[in-house]
Amino acid sequence: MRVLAIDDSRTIRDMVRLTLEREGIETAVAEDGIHGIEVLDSLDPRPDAILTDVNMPRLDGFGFINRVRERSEYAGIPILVLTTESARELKLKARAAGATGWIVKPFDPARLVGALRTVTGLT
Amino acid sequence: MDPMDAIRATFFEECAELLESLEGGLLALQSGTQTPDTVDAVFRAVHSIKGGAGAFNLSTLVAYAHEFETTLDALRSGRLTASAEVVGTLLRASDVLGDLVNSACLGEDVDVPDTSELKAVAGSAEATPGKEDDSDFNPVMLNFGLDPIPDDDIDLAPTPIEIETVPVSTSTAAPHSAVGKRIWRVTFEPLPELLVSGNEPLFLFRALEVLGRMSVEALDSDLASLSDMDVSVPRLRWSIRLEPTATDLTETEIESVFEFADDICVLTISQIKDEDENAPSPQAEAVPGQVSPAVVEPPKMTIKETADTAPPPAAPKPDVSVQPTPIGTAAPQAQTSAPATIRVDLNRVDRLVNLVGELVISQSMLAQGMTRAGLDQHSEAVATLDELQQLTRDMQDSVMSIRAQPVKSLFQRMTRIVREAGQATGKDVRLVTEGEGTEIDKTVVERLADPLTHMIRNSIDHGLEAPDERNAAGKSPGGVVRLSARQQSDRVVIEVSDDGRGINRAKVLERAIARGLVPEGKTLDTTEIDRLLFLPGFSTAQTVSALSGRGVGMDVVQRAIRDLNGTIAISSVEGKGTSISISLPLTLAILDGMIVRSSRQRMVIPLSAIVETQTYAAARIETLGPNQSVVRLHERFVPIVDLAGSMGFARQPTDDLVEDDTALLFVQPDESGTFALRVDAIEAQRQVVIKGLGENFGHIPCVSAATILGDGQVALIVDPGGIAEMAGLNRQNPTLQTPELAVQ
Repeated sequence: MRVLAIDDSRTIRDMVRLTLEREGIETAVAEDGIHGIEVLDSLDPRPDAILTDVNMPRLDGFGFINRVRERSEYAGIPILVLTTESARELKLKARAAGATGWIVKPFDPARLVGALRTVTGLT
Repeated sequence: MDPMDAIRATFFEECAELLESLEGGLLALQSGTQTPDTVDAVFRAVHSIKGGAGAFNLSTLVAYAHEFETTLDALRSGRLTASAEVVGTLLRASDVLGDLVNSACLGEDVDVPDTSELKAVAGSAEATPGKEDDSDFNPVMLNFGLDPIPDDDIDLAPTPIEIETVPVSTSTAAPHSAVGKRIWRVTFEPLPELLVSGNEPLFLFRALEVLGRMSVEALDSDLASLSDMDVSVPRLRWSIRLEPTATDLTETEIESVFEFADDICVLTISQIKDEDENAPSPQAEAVPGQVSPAVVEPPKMTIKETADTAPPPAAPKPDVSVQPTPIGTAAPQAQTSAPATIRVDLNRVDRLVNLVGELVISQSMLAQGMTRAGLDQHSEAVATLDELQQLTRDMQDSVMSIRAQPVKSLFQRMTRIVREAGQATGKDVRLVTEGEGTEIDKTVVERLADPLTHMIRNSIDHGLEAPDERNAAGKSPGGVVRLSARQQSDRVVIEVSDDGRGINRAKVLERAIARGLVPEGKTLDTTEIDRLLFLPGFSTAQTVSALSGRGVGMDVVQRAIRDLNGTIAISSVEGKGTSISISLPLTLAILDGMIVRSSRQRMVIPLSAIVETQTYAAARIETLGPNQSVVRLHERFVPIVDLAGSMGFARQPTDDLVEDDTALLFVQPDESGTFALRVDAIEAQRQVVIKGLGENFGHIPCVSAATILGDGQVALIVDPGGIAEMAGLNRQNPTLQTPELAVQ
């Protein structure tokens, strides 16, 4: 499985990468929404799933999802939102933006990997 | 290093950056120089600290950051206005947050600091409800083991998922009681939003399949004819029969597979008895509330072992193929679009710096070799060597610039010092910074923090007057401390100045006399009195251990600056203020030096310390007793110190000593005064690569480092300040350089 993880915190990026790579999931990272689009466009073939933070400079997670969902070449790509808030409102916003699901930070590694496996159908 | 330790280190590194950006943002708010993004950036900084802290189970930090974030959220949403009072509170909170980060870094256990002030500020904004449900941030310690996952670490907010609890026969009511396997029946009907969200029914089924053996039936009664089909509207429903591997499989476990689809599908989960199997999908029509019940048709398509099967033909998504292709080839491409900065391990940069240093040495050895070989100055080889020299110099500059860092972060740290010192002394102080973009070696930046802190504290403590005293003097009640940086050729000058009362020279002299630093009845000029401040023993705080405390001696500051090959100077106008300026080399790796010979030893004197040179023969020398002589420098006399002699080298009868070559280097290592170093000859002036002596040698008072000269020989780099101390110029004879004494 190949995943693109976007978070403006280096700590979280490193942690996600470590978590995923331990499970043999190849991970590309980006620092904000704009960078995320750039990295996404550079990945060939496209990643199997995307993880994105919400609060980021330049382009936030929702803005990122909106842009990805506008592009036919990324149709159906599962996008999980990494968020520290679990408030229902935030989930609804994520849903409205076109997110596939959400993971609450601090994330449980097994839960994160499990969620990725579920949404991608890959092991 | 354990990868988690590395991430932990990253976290604290990142915290430092975030705290800096937090403080920078708050200061911008305070001064009204904020941009539209400032509040967001400030919020994000605290938010990120909280996020990372949560992952490391730093609960105190999380708790405080949470309160802080709540207040900032009020600011961000416009419920709270950034008044001076509010920003003041936030600045104090950022100090506390910084302290908590430090404590967490050191592994100290601290209580959650008082958050009442933050709460009060946030509370005043609570006209509208704040962040919804914001108290559920429960840190989860990262656990990469196989421990069971607690269910409550993720918010499974109960919601529109409606689960039909199907009455089961009494024999199956108690989950663990029955013998034999229990069969589950799950019906699943996606709503249109499900497809847009990137949730794929097939994958959900695969995830479900992990729980046991299953068979899936697609119910296609609603399927439109091909010509009428709208691919964005799901028409299929599925009925799944699941025979769990684990006998105690619960409904919640099945439900969790559909977690992300909870509000965008109609789901039913029920338990059936084995014998019910022949009545397919009894619950298929139980589509509570949301979709009109459909008539259950007999299954027309059955998909078994879904993992090996293509998606249902009608799954109306054009491009859901997911290719499990290795990411390896793509990674480099991702790299190219990365932002214009990269993070590099400092060790790698240092290695590069060292290698370039070696290159400089080899090159100068090559140059010497070529000269000895008698190559024609116009030969091609010499021309090429010139080119090489130019390239090496450029390369050296480029490498040094990698280590260079703007002083901004350092200056920002000082805002807190000013704030705290102002509070502690009850003085109203404003810090003005200039030239924050000036760059200097990273190590220098780091090692400047302590001296600058002390200088600023001194300025506020001793320099600035209390508000009423300022009023009486016709000044504005608020004092100003100015911190500036600028580059002057190959040095950086950092200045701390205040608009306070200036140095009270009469008092300084009185104190110096009281401490026995100056003989009674001595008159000194203003510069000399100012220099007394740098004498060890002048300040009340005499020990180095007081470095982090208040009122540390300026001698300690001077020592720190000298260790950086820097010089320090002070100037003051009584009633107007005091200014202390530090001049530092751009780098600690290269030194402009004068190569001299003294008693057969070749040594390097830092050019920055040399004010003037004279040939010994031309100098006006006076003898003072058998061992001491002084030389006239302009209008005054300064002591002469023999370089090799002062360092303990025996004076050797030398063949190559040429009287005419003997020279005097007037050096002024710092404010403690000028003296003349006698050397046998001045050989050259050039850049040398600084090499540490290694720890085996310990601290040698008058040697700061060593270098390798062009001929491969090692030469010591002399610390003129240390020589002055060794020769006892400062301590025992602080007034030696005064004209009165010298002329007598």
